[in-house]
Amino acid sequence: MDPTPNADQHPPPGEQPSAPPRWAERLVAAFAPLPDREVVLGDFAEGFADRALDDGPALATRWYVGQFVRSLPSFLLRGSLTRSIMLGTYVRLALRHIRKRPSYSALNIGGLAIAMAVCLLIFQYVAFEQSYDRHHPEAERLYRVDAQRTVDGETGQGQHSPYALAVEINATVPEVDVAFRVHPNYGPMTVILQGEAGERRIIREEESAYYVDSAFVNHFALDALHGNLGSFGTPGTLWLSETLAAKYFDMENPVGEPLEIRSWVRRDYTVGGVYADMPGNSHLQAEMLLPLYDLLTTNPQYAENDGWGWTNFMTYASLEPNASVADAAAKATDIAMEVYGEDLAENGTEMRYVFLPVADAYLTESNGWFPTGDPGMLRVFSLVALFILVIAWVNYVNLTTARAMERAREVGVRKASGAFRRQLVSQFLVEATLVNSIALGLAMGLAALGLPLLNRLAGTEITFAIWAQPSFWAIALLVLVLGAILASLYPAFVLSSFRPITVLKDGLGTAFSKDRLRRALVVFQFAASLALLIGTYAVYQQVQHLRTIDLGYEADRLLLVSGPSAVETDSVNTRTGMMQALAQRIEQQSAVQGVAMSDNVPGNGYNWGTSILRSGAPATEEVYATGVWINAEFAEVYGLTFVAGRNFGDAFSESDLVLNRAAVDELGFESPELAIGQVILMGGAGSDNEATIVGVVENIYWASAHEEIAPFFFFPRHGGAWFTLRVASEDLGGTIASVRASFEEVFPGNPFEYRFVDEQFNQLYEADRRFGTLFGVFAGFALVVACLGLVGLAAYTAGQRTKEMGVRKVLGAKPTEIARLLFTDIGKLVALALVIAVPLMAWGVGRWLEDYAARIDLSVGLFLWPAIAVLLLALGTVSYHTVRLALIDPARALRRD
Amino acid sequence: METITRTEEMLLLAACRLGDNAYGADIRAEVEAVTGRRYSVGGVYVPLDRLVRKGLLETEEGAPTAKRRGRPRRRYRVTSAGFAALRAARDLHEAMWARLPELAWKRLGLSLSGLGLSR
Repeated sequence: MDPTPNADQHPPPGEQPSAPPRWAERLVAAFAPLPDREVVLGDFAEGFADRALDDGPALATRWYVGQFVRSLPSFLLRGSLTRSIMLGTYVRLALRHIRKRPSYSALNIGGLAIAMAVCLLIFQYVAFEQSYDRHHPEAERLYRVDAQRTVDGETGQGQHSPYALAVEINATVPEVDVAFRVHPNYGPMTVILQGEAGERRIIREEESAYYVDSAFVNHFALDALHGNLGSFGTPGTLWLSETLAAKYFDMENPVGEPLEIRSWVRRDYTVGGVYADMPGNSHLQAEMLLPLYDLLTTNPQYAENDGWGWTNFMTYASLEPNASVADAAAKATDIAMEVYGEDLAENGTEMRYVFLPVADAYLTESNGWFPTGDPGMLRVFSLVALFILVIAWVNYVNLTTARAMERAREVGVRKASGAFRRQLVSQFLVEATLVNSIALGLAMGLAALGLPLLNRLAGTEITFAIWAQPSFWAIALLVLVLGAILASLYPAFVLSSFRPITVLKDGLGTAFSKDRLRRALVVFQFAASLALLIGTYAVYQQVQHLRTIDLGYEADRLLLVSGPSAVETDSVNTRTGMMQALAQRIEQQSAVQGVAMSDNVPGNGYNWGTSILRSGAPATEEVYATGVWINAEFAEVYGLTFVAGRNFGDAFSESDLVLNRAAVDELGFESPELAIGQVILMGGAGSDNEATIVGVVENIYWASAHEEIAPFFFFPRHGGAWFTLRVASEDLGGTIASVRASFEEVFPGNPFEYRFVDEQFNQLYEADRRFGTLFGVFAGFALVVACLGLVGLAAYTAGQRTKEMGVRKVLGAKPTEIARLLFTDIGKLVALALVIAVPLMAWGVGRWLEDYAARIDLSVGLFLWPAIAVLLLALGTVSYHTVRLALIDPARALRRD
Repeated sequence: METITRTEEMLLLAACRLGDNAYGADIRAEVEAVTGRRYSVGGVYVPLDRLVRKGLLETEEGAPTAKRRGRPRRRYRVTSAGFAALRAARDLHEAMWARLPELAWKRLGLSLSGLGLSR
């Protein structure tokens, strides 16, 4: 013992000083740099022993850990010099390994790169979906006022609010700096331009136009290209997006040019300015902006009741800095309750206004005009991304540990020549980091190439380079570090824990005979792939189900032609008269079996939505229903089935009403027959708008099959905004051409627009189809990555078992028996994966389907086919090596070493 | 002769004072007792190592003790270059202080005699 006077002051001779906990010592040992490690550990132990004696072991342990944390920076700093020298060696060694086995490395890096690229794209998509409406000036203070209604315990949120709400908020809510209204031009509008030769150019404009208060232009980010935004709101001037301006006018600056609008407003306009197209991640996509004032003055009838009855506006509010959102919402609710309170109470409805931050508007479920994103879908995609990444990491682990066989000797030699375990672990970490980095680099390139494809599939306009965002680098770094650590730890520890003597003598056989973890990882891969495949299949089936659902009429033979946009009429030639004349002309064609007219068509919306009530029934029995105006031929052309009563005749009363079965049921009639002749109050309790039920039709799908078929009504009229033609299925092109000729003759200058009802309906399922496609593509990539791993693993296993199979053959095994043996192995793993994936997906798919009123059943086939596919894929992947093994010449197999 | 930093001077002086007991942990305790500067157990070796590399300190392996659970200790000894550096540091100090005018001393609230320095 060193004779130092103060070394053994504390413990009296013969007593053992207390020792620090083992885990704590390991912690220090793991991080303390090599040359001083023992000395530092000694200092720590000494300090601990002294403190344990004075303060007890608990406080001493705290001191120990505290000191470790405080020493950590020094440990890392001091280690870095030695480390940087070693690092060069490690990198060189790793590169040598990558080059030595190009096919193996390509498999490894390729799988990782594909997985990372898909992850990047998913991340980019999710980031885009979450980036909506953050670009407006002071977006954090901008809110949309949504209405939350609770009826019978069910709460729904809606985007619409009445005309008067913004006015009242501006007048009485001090928290709000300014509230302003937005009114979409529901449906297309007619735009009439002067042609070059002075002729009228009639355009049916489908792009969205909005009537807005002038405060709108200050609070939604608008970039004026021509004109002065300050002048916005002048009656009779409108603003166009860059795209629309280019479509209408063949000139650089169209400010001051005239055009005529016929829609909710009917008047001449001049162009007040042009703004840059709004970015794709704005929930409000306006191609044309008109002063709200024009809308209000054109339609004064709606402003009755002080504007509380005109309810299809969206109200936005910009709050004062630091104002309370809750207070503002409560005050807005109070305003509305003064007006609606009694009616709502009578209906048993609770209503309140919520101030929805505009940045959340896109991803918050709220009914109304603006389409909303689906946060659930984003979660699903994020999960898929994680799955793909983990599958790729599992590949890496599997292939690397498999390769351990070949490297066992290298490790043995290095250990025998004095390499520390830490150095070996570092070597593997460096290799994994290198492989992951190369893969990440490749992935960024692949993702850039894949972005246009993603945009097409997802219908997005992602243009920003994701690597321009700091958050990307944070996540990339995380993925890299996590990937390198996760993917290298297991192989590193397995390899470095081999006992050199055993490995050098016997190979890896004894040191590493059980590959239970590897099998578990393969099972995970199969399970994840299977889950994704089941998901894809289920989504595909459901979308097919929606598209092929029996709408109640033959949608593929119903041709829709929109009525004329602009007609010159006089007392003799009324619009309706001209439309009827055209209908008669078309009907004479042999390919046309009937022509109907209506004010709206299936899949395109309805004309009127209101509460309806049996005359004399209490207000609580009110039912919300939507309806359209149709002519007498409509029922025949669409093939509506009357379960009771009759169709409208050519002569009808304007109060004749046809209901669908759902409406009759919900109104509480005992049978359709009993409903005939009964009086219905259109508008609900207290309304004097009476209608008489003349017929009841079987339910048909008028709107998306996402929802149950709702109460629906038909009113009679002669003309309509649309023609529906029942056409023969042969020579559709010829039929359409001759219909077009007749149309253009009767309505010269009007655009002829047509589509089939089934196309119209399929547009309603566009979002579902997109989800299905994206999910399918991502799942496909996951499968590819998993298969890449399997190929590598199969090659390795084959190499491993060559000798075993040789022996089996010598002992009389037939090739078929050997093949069965090998296939059974894989089969077992797939079976296990099945047991894991099927219940999980049954639950997940079931939950997803809950959103659809018309949905597929959870059948066995839904799970069986994907399972068979995965099994075949797995067998196919390994079959090459299996067959090779089964047919192997035992003499050659056994001759190896 | 290159000048040494305040920290280095402090550590060298601590090693000087401890003499045969200038182990890492004791240097740490000495520095803390005199200056209040608290090195972590592992952190103290960073500047000590630098001094070793500069040739101002040399090390010597000490025998393990029970409290250290059989681990070695490291004793530091100031080399002749280390002593030279300390002397140079002190000379530099004195030279700098000596050049201050009387007014500056008064501003600092010090008296010449209080420091025992002579001009």
